[in-house]
Amino acid sequence: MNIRLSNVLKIFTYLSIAISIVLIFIMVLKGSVYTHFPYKYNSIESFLYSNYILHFNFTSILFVPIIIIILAPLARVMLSILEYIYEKNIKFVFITLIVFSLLIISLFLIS
Amino acid sequence: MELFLICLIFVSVIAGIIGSLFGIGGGIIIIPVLVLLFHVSIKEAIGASIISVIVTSSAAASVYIKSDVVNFKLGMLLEIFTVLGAITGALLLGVFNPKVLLIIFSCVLITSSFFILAKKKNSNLHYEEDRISKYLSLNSQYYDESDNKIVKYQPSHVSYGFISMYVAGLISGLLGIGSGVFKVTSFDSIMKIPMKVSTTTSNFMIGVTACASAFIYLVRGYINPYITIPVAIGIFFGAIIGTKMLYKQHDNTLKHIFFVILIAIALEMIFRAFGIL
Repeated sequence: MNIRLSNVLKIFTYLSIAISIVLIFIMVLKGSVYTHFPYKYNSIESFLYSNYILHFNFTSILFVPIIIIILAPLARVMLSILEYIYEKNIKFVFITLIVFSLLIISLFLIS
Repeated sequence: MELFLICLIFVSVIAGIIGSLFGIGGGIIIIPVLVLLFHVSIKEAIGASIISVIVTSSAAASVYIKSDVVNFKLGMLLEIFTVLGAITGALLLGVFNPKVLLIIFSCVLITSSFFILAKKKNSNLHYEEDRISKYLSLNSQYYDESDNKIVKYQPSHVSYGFISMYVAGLISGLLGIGSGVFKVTSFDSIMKIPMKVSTTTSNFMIGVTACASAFIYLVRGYINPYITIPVAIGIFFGAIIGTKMLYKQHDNTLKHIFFVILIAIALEMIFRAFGIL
């Protein structure tokens, strides 16, 4: 369990950092820095369908490493559920499912 | 523009090193730096910090969990409460005025500095039978390399741990910090868990706690990628450098200097909130 969890976390973290480093170089070349991000969203729909996220532009690409890194703990919890099912530890399958559900709920709370 | 980016990365590396040296993560240092030096709004500074917290926690956890020191079961059980707290905190962020946030952050900063100053290597561990701990088989053991022996332990007062973890999650969600100091303190003082297990399990939990509030920050537009990406990279590499640097735990002079700096930053943020500076 430990090795699998460790590998999942490593993949998400290093992938996110590698993409971020590439994007930093592009940011330097483009000279694009906004200290005050002008876009505010009120729901998941407005976040996803705003011109800056789903449309293919530099700002939307900048969100890629951020979303990858946010998904790392979620992937870890999902893997834990599978591991506890494999171990037939019903109590902890239930506990881990609660944590997972809370994380999913947090995604939709804003909508 | 390039200078701004370079300065941001450089300062984040320093924050990562200091955070790693004192075991507090970079968030608590980078937020005041972004607000006071780079004039970033407090909500965007908090957004940048929460992503850095997930990066450093995931990277550190990937190393820690290979050892048997982390108590996965206890961590997962307490994550229910830290995540609930983090969701509450992240929702409250939208309610609070930036000035109020500055004051709350300063108070947490002052409290954390006292915890760092009072940090001890190991507290006296005397376990008491706990029903929840027994029912969920939370007792565990690990091999302590420094003492060359197997250390067995059983978490005590788990129900009190639920409350303290909810508060730690609330602080994390509201202020975008890992609140590792609070988690470790409650593991150590309330649940009577050995310090090594406390620090590694706390680190393991921080990522999940931060993940819950990060979703809310992201959708609300508090995460500015132009600030977040350089800060996350800087803190990530700073934390790597920090862990490799030789640091004597008993170096009290360094600890006292850091304490004074944190108090000064906290006071400056309070003065700014009241419009004095």
